[in-house]
Amino acid sequence: MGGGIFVPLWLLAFGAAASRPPDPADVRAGVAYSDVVPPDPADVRAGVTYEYGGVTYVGTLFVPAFASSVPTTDIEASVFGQLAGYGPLVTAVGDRIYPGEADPDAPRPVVVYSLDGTEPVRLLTGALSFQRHTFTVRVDAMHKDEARRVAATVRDALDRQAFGVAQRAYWVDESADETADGYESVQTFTVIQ
Amino acid sequence: MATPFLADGTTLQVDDGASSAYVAITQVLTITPPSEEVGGYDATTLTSTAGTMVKAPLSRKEPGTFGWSMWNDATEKLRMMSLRGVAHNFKITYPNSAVDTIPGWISKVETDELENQSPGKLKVTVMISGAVTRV
Repeated sequence: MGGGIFVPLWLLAFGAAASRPPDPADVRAGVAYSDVVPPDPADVRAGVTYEYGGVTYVGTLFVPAFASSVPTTDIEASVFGQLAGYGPLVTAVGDRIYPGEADPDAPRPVVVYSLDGTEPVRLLTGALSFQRHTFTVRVDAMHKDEARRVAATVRDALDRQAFGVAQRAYWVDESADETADGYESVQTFTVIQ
Repeated sequence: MATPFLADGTTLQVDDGASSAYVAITQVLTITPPSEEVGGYDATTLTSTAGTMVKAPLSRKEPGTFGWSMWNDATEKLRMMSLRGVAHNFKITYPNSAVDTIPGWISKVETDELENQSPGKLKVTVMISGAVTRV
């Protein structure tokens, strides 16, 4: 046999195809990947798209990679992690999920969440049994349909779900109204910790 | 000014061990302490012409029942059910260090109504079998 190096044509074609790897911040900590070996979608933050060899992948990691740096004892961080890691919501608003106040320059729709209050529930001995938090999640959008659609996605992300330090979250109510330059939906959730 | 009594810190124990050691009952939310009752009898004489009956106190007290509510914890529920119908001593220790020691048996372990978004509760009732010791 000859001593030349045989390179199949399909491999040449594969190597020539465009690759757009995910940002390391969107990949689960500790996962190794290269320009040739893509990460498993289960290791990439939900909704993040990346390409290898001309194939497009969509990440499905429910908890975002950056959640590992968020204190797990914090209920607000848990709610944020749940919202920011929910693929359909990421698809709808990207990373425009804000605590308290939205970036005024951010394009809509945006999601703004806030912790309104906490009620401790104690045993007779005085020991803390659990906490009942009240969260408001507001969606600011250009149009009513968009606001309602994103609000429904927020509801899917939180209602009856367990995540982080939250034992379970419950959707309580929703109100919607026109604003000076668009439409807003405001939902209330009870989160049991 | 009177100092209000706060229940915060109240504990409940049961003597359920072979070594007669009191063991805490956990997950307790509320306690209805024992309250003995002195009943009465009709002391109206047959010759009385008064328009109102005469009543007199009985010489013995009715010990009655006491009970508590607690979270419907699976382990504690099984424990309460295993104690049902067997005589024990129960001890309530109040935050002011007062102690009620109560002989009796668990007569009922009741699962409270189930409600969406609320943790389940148990209601436990003890039939008191004798005098309550108060220290």
